[in-house]
Amino acid sequence: MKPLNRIFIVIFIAGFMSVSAAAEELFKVDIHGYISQGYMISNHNNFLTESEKGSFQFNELGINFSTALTKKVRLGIQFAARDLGDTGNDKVLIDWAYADYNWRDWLGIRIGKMKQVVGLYNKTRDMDMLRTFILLPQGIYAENYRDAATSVKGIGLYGEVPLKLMGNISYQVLIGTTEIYKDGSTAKASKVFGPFNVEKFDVDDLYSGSIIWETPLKGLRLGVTLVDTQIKIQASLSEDLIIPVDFPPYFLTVAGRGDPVTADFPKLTIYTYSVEYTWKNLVLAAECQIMDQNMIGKILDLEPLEISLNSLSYYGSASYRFSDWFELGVYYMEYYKDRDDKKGTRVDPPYSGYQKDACVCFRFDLNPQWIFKLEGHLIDGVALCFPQDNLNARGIVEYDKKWALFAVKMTFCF
Amino acid sequence: MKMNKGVVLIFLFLFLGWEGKFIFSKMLIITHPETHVDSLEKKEIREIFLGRKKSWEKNEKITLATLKKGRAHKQFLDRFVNKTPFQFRNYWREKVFLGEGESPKSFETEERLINYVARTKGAVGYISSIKTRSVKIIMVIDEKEEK
Repeated sequence: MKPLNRIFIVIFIAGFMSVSAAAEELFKVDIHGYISQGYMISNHNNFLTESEKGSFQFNELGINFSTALTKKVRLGIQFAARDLGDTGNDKVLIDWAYADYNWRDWLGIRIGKMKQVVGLYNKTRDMDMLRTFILLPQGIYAENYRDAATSVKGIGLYGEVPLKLMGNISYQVLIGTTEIYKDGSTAKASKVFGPFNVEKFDVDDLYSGSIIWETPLKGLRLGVTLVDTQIKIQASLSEDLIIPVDFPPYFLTVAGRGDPVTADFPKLTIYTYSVEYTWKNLVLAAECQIMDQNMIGKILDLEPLEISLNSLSYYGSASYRFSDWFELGVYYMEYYKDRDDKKGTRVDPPYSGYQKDACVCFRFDLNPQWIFKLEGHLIDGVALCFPQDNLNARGIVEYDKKWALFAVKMTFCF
Repeated sequence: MKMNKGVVLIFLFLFLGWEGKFIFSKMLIITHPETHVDSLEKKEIREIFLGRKKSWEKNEKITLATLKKGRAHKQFLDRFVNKTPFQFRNYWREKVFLGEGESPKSFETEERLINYVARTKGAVGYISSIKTRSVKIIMVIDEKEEK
């Protein structure tokens, strides 16, 4: 555990102890938690886990403690662990931990580690019991970058602004940084840029903002969120870098295994536009995400390599709750790595430039604490699959264009 | 043809059975007797029960009291909060699991809810009929009268 995390824990334990010692009756500590275990299997392509063989490395758990110190001040912390294929590995981390001063209904301030806002559902993506689906639409809520999208450490402002006849506005602004671990899913995803091992992520200032307008039309809410940051990656080559040349011996080793590599993302901007309509037990939602990122990669004194990645994703979903115990959900999502090349003509194979996913999910609430879900996906394209998880016997990346994924998940929460 | 009728009946059952309109009778919003409020707009009641409005006038903290289940609970949420009981539970679960709030105190019976509101400063809840004078009644909704 990092020293900073230890400091967080000490501060919060001290806070909770002082609270209980000071006023046992006035302040009670709320304790809640969840644990879920899933299984996923695919007929082709490994996705997130070794899914072709079938994998139980698909679980998450969390426990949180919170209390109201005064009428306006709250303090809370959540520890969480997850395992998804070879990332996470059930390492316990602080998911969120912050002090909250709610000065007015329209303005509150939080300091500490807070959940990141992206779209309508990123804040709650760890909590399986709060949503219909097992896997949220991956083009927007990619598990591949989940550790980078989970939390922000810094300062946040939030509030609710009633607009009388025009509905209500909820807003949240976060300024800070985020921790990305070198053994996390983002580090794994970074390897698509080349054969290197990530040693360190440095996230400069991160700005994140969300506005959700609850319109005067009953049940309709519209949202827009923005994330803007810069990231620097320090890495080392995991194999020799060899380039073809026009003179003997025809191949030249320009950098060796272990040589330092840097990848700077001077611009990484994510816009997410959301609409959700709820009528009785029916919930319709649609979101669109545009991500713009520039990467400048540098190996030794070689000419820097500059790559722009401007991705696009959108989906539409519908879910209907038929009874206290049964809910059905469907969505259709499209994701394009490069929105100017939707057919994937600049990548090989072309279907690695996009991923289209039709999903159906059956949710069964056995009781308010136990939830069981069954989910099927028919997928065209492999843009969100990791190449390194899909090597054939000769060590060459090999995919199938059309494939199916099936997932089951059981969750307990209290 | 018989099969088709069967299918139609199943769909009617599924969509209307659970979505059928309630016949609203009385729905009373109650608070602790010393709360500094005499009336509430419908929209304010929604803001309060969604945890968006957190304090009464004079800075008194609002404490929510809800029923755990039942017809009155369903009617109240439908009429004032525009959520189903499941959506309301999930809404508060989200707040609790993100450390953003404390879930409303919920009760099996209206009697227990009334007792809690009567002895808790700043508390607000709802009941379907007048059973006591130990709480302040803020607003009486009679859907038939409104129509």
